[in-house]
Amino acid sequence: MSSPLPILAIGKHAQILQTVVGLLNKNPAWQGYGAEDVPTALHLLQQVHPALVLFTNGLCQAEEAEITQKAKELQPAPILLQHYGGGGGLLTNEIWAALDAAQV
Amino acid sequence: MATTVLHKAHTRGLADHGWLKSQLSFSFANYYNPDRVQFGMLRVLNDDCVAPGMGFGTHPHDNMEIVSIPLDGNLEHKDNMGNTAIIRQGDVQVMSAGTGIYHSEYNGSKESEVKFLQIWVFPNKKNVAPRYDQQAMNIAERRNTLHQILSPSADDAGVWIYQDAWFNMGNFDAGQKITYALHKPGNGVYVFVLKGTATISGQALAERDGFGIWDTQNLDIAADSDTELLLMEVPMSA
Repeated sequence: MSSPLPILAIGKHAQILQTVVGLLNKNPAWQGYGAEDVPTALHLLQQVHPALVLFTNGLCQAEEAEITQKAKELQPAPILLQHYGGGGGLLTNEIWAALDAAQV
Repeated sequence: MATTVLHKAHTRGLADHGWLKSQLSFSFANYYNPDRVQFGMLRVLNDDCVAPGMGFGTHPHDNMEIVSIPLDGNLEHKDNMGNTAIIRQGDVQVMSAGTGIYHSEYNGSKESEVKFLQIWVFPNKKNVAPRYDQQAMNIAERRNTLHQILSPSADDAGVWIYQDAWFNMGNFDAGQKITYALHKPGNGVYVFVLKGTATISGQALAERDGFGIWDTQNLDIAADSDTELLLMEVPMSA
């Protein structure tokens, strides 16, 4: 059995972030991590080397750009995707679609 | 030359949670069909039926325009912005989830099911301040015409959202014909047949069929029987 896929969710709404990470961790194939700010996100990028990075809400363009740049420096670079909806409605779909597209 | 997509009612995804039966026109939750993800900026069209006294507990949303249209019965709404409301048949409810909103929705009836459409449209602006609105619509005004229930402008008829989208509903007697002119180049229209049968630009449709059409400026609508339609005009790309 392969180890769970690390997925980093980043967003400034603490409760929504907690919900998203909780939903990720309900799937035994995934390991969810959450970051509410840029320093935490950059730290977790290095520490857990996520396969996917989900941008949820509240980040300004400059913050998202900084995280994106650092993520792309990783080898292999994680898949970057926007999460919409803030809960379980689209989360699984978005991840499945991204993994399909990347053929992970 | 118009481009079209047809989603017959029986091809929709089905989620049966006991208290909630949901027919899913597009991929949602655990229903994933890569060929049925969205129609332009229209991402979710759930045809929901909630058992008496049951509902969706408090849950979050962000960065999505969420429109609810009760078709039968009443839905009780509460959110963390202090809104407590009942939405009834003929009402349209909208939430711009933006930076984040928490809400619950329950069927307040102990006897009857509530049936409603849950529609999600991608916003054209992220991280807006969350907002809630609902409006009571006069269903009689939909008789043999299209009645606008949603637009991008607070000054226009119906509720408004952060997207260049226009929704219309109409109740047509058999034999009625009408033409719908799109508001904006680059937009398409997703027609959802709520009741009856209709022919849209040559495509025959039955109850709960969905039909998307784009690369066109007009739709020709003919009611083949007494029919109720929902037209959702949305941008086909961000």
